[in-house]
Amino acid sequence: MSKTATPAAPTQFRGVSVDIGTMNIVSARRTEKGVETRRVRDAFLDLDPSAKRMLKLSGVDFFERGGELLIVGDKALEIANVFGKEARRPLSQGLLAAGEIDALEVLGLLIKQVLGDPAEPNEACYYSVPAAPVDAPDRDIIYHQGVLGRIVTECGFRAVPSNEAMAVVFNETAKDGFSGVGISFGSGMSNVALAVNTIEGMSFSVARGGDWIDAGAAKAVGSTQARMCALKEGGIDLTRPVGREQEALAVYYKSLIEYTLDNITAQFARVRGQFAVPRPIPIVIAGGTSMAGGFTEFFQQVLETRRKKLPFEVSEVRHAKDPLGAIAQGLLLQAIQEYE
Amino acid sequence: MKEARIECLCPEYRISDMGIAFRRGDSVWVSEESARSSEELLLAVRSGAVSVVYARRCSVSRSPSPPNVRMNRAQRAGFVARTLPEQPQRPEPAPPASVDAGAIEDAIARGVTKAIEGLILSGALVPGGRAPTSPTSFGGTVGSAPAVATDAPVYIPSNIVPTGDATTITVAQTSTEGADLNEAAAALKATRKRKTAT
Repeated sequence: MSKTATPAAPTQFRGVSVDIGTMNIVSARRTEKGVETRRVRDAFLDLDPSAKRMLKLSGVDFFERGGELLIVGDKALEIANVFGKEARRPLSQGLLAAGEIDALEVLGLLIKQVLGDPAEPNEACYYSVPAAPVDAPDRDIIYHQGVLGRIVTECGFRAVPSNEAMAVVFNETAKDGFSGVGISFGSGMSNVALAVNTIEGMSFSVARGGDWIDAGAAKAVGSTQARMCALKEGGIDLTRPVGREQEALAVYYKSLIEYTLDNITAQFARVRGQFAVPRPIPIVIAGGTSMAGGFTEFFQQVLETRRKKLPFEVSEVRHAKDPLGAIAQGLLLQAIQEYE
Repeated sequence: MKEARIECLCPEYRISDMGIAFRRGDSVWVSEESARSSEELLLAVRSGAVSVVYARRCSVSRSPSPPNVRMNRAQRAGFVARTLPEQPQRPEPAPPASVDAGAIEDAIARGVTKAIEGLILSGALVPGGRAPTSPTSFGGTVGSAPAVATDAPVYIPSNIVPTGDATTITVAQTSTEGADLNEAAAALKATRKRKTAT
């Protein structure tokens, strides 16, 4: 890992991608030896101008806007803990909130830094968009997709939206003929796509993810959401939870997995007559929320209780090689096809 | 005339530019023009605080109540007979005797199936679902959860990305070595070729 500015990409490797999530923004670009991913926290913190001296002394990057100091990216979370404040996030439950104009500017800055300069004018940039949530029909993905497209375009790229969970399928199921179920357990929402031979059979999202787990577990044990998040990221083993807090987290993880599997069954029933899954397919899991210890094993345990209800056969459950970068890499795979 | 039915979905909400304040479960009918021109309503819908349904209300004029006239049984029978004229019964159409209806249905079904298969193979028809997310998406879409209705205009702001700003942000950079991406790209290309050939 290293600290970088925004380099221009070599022109021989055209096509780039960016996964814009509630917690992280990840971009991917092909290099001579493989793939380069760049990640930044999708968060910012606004501070009073009186904190300027302290920030300068501590060497934290910040910028001033409208009489306030803004710290963006990973440092925002660190400084928020120092000041006992909550870092703000441009996205809420996986989607942009309309009217958050401050947040849009920060988001634009973060995406620009992560993407860098285009290798050529109007270079194709695939960016992730969630499917419409089935349990929150009022959430507006049209606005979300439009704003992200505008930001990517303003960064000098040709913006192409692409489904987030399908990107997981593209990245992780090449050996299965691009057939499988991709599930991206994100911070704000969980996205699901089922594909057979690259054809998307169904896709949807549920408005539950890592934040929902943190909030629920915190409420159950009388703790804070931030503490639950720290506990989760600090190395919990879901199959062997220790103590009340970890047990609460495991209960909410289980509930999220059950909810997702039940929705897969319900949504598949809607396309059953139009789409067939001719052979057993794998389930591939990705996303930051899936990085908790023992998640895949835990998922398999829950799947066994639901296996009879699933309308297709599952060959195996596997975790993406790089759960945080899998979506960006799946999008990159699609972007470079434009230049092959 | 089309009207908008606004329903409150949160504990309490106020749309000040329309002068509406209501609680969860309350609903208000307003004219379509005023609903579409209200910026606050648009924000409220996007935030999920209220829901809006545009509909044409059916206006039914109530018939005047009958005069309170005392009638004897014979008069009442005559009144009902005058107000409810007998409906003539239509004879049921008889099936044509010389044509085999089953054979015609089979032939039509075969023709329609062939036409639909042709459209699907040519990519002109995507069965049952919305169009792929991106115009250059590599697969079709059979079915997806529906997006939010797009009948309301969506304002997308411009000049979002700050220009001329020298701010640098710490970005974590990771390089993965290996031929996985190239192999996956070749496999995807081959799959697409096979699909096009069939």
